[in-house]
Amino acid sequence: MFFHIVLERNMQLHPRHFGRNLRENLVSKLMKDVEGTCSGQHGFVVAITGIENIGKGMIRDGTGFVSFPIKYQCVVFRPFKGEILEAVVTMVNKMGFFAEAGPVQIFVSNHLIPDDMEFQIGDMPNYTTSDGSVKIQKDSEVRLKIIGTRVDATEIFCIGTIKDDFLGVINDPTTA
Amino acid sequence: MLRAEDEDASELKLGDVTMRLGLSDFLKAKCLMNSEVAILLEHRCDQMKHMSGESMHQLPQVLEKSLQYVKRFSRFTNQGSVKQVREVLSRYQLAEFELAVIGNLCPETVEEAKAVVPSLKTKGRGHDDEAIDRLLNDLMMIKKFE
Amino acid sequence: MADDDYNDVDMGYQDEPPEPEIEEGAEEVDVDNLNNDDDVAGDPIEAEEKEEQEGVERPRKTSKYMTKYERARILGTRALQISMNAPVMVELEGETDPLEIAMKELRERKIPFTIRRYLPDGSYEDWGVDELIVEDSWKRQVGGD
Repeated sequence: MFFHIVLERNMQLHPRHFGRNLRENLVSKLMKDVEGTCSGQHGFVVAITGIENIGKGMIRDGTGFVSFPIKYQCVVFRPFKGEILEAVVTMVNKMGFFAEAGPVQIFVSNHLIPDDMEFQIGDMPNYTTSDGSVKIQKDSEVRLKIIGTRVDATEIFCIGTIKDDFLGVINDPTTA
Repeated sequence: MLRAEDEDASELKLGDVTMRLGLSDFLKAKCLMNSEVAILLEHRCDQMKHMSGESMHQLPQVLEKSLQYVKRFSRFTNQGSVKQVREVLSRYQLAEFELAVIGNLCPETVEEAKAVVPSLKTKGRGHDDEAIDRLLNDLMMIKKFE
Repeated sequence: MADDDYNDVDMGYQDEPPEPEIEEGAEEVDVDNLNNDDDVAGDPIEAEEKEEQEGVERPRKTSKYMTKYERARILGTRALQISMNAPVMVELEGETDPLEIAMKELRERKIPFTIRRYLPDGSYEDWGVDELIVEDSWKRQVGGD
């Protein structure tokens, strides 16, 4: 799920960036530093959408640098356990398949794929039902439920399932 | 460090989980539907292209991937209807999280809605099948007239 | 512009120094209106900060004279920043020594700092460098030769 959230960060600014463009310099450095990062707590910071407030700078002793506390609004992506979302399949193998929902990777093990779907090896490895009506392969769109997240300081991994009501393929690239 | 057991969006524990874990930032956070994110990110991309002018080589990976994702899975593309969806859904006493999930997945039947948002089944929240049905109908109407 | 002149002479500091370590400790000096270049007035940040200051304002009771320790620290810090290519707030007349420039800025009350004076009970008072009186005997030194 994407969230719009207000975060705070202390930015250290080099003295050469002082002067009339201080604010712009600070904001562009913030964007460069923060956008695209992932923290266990907040998930992936996708984009900064606004600056709420820039506090008073504090001079760092001995370095000449000044640190400013900045409050900024941003869009973050943070998966939660139990969440149901749609994702694009990126890789299929006999262990299961990987899907991507925005910046996050989700693995669905073959134990969590309905029992009537069989793995088929070939150019386009896929999972197919016995009657061939449903097929999961690269670029399929699936709806899945996140049943586990592993969150560490700089990355988020998810485990998902499609073995439940109203989960599974929503769009087959071959028929679309 | 977060452990998976501590959070379960399906039971709508999000609120107290975040409280317990000191993730208080998420309490004030607003859940966004993919369609809304698409609008926000498009805006940010334009801004970036504008800023770096001709020299724009590539968008940062996380932004690029997210943008592709939300564009692919947006149910509503028109800015007006996105706004309308939020307006309509917020009439039904849904939690932020539920609202966003329903807006994202657009379930077609009451059964499906309850499957994707299990917390709707919780008793005493005034979400009987009839209300859910009305909600889904409203949603369908917006989609039809988009 | 003053800082342009200065950039030319300062060849030793073109490289970015290593990221500073973040040390927590009693900070006494903080930047107030650093974005106040030459005669640019009323930038958003500055305005905000002024408001903030008034919000917590109580009558201040510490001396309105700058102590020699404060003066030393301000000149040292400011000279360091100037040596790191910070824009200079005064018109230069051929000075190249960062400390000399810092002294000139102090003399013209253009150093964009606020001094945070901590009191024994943990509370503090903020004094703008431009508010403090730099004593006569020191002015001689500030004034250079």
